[in-house]
Amino acid sequence: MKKLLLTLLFSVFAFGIQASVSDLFKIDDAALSEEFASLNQLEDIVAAHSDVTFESLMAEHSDLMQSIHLQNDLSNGLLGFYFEPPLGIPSFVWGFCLGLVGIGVVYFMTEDRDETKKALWGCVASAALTTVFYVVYYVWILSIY
Amino acid sequence: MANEMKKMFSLSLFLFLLLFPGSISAQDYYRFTADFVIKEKLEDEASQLITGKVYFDKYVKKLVYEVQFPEPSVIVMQDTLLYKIRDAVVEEIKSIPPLAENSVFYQLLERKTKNFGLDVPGSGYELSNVEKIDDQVISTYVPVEELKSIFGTVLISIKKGQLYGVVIKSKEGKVLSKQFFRKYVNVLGLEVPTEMITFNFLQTGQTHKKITTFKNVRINENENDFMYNYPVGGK
Repeated sequence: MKKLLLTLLFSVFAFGIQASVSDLFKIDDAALSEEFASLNQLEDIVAAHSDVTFESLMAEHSDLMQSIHLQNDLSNGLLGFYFEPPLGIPSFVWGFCLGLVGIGVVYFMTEDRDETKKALWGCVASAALTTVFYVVYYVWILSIY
Repeated sequence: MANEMKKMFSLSLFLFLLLFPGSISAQDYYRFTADFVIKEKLEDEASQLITGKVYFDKYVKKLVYEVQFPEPSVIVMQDTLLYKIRDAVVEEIKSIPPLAENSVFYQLLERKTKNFGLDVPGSGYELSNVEKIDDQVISTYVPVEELKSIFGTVLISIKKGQLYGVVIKSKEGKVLSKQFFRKYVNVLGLEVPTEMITFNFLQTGQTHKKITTFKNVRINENENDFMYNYPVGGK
């Protein structure tokens, strides 16, 4: 009886884990389709008229365009989220908190010179603050003795 | 005599294929082109629609988007620069990470999509678990010891031998991003997903959703050399 209970418990536990992992890869197509319905409608209009532009659509389908708040930011749209610093943490903070490792992470994750520079400045600021802290600390210690 | 020649040829071919089965699939895939549609639901209920044609040659290393909508233009990404060209005039130059070499097109042509490049030495991740659940094989990759305090696990799902989904977690175990690769087509022996769906879960609690679809995929196209090597920056 004990064995049976243990087996049942194990099965439930194992099934629970499996369900949660595979749940991560579930996609609600119906909800997605509903959410993108207006964009799909717009896509059909664009596909049917090769000369259509943002401005001409704004003039002819302003209700639809306004209902979905359509943006006209081309380059950012094609880049997606690549411009964001790693994990959304500012590059300066990466350098400030993790020093050379932080600079390395920013460099390898973004491969962006400007972001890496920010991380470098973070590292420099952190080193400067640490130096000031130790100087003040030693002066204080020396003044005691 | 002709029959004997035929037999010899068939036997040689049979032995060749038997001994070197990989030689059939050893084709060099170097060019990708397709009609694309990008649909995005951004934060604050904003949306984005971009349509056009994409060109990529892995040896030229330029990612070229011939955009139809929202405005006819050409976007070229080369090295760390993005050029926006309208009516043959460069309108804008931006500094970007080197996307061309890290793009999904490069990974596809190099046939590295299956494990999302995580099985490559130096990726910073190592395989910790593989389990089969229904029709999926789910692999869990964990960051190497030095990166554990920064990154979380990455789960990769393979369905029917093709990359199906990627889940990226934070070090606290929170799901940061989900990507799905679906509706594969076989072009010249290369499996190409024609639908990519991305969910980015923002810190604000909002979700950024993006659907990219490809049509008329062509691999190793011999025409349109100009578009694959669109001249920018004097190159």
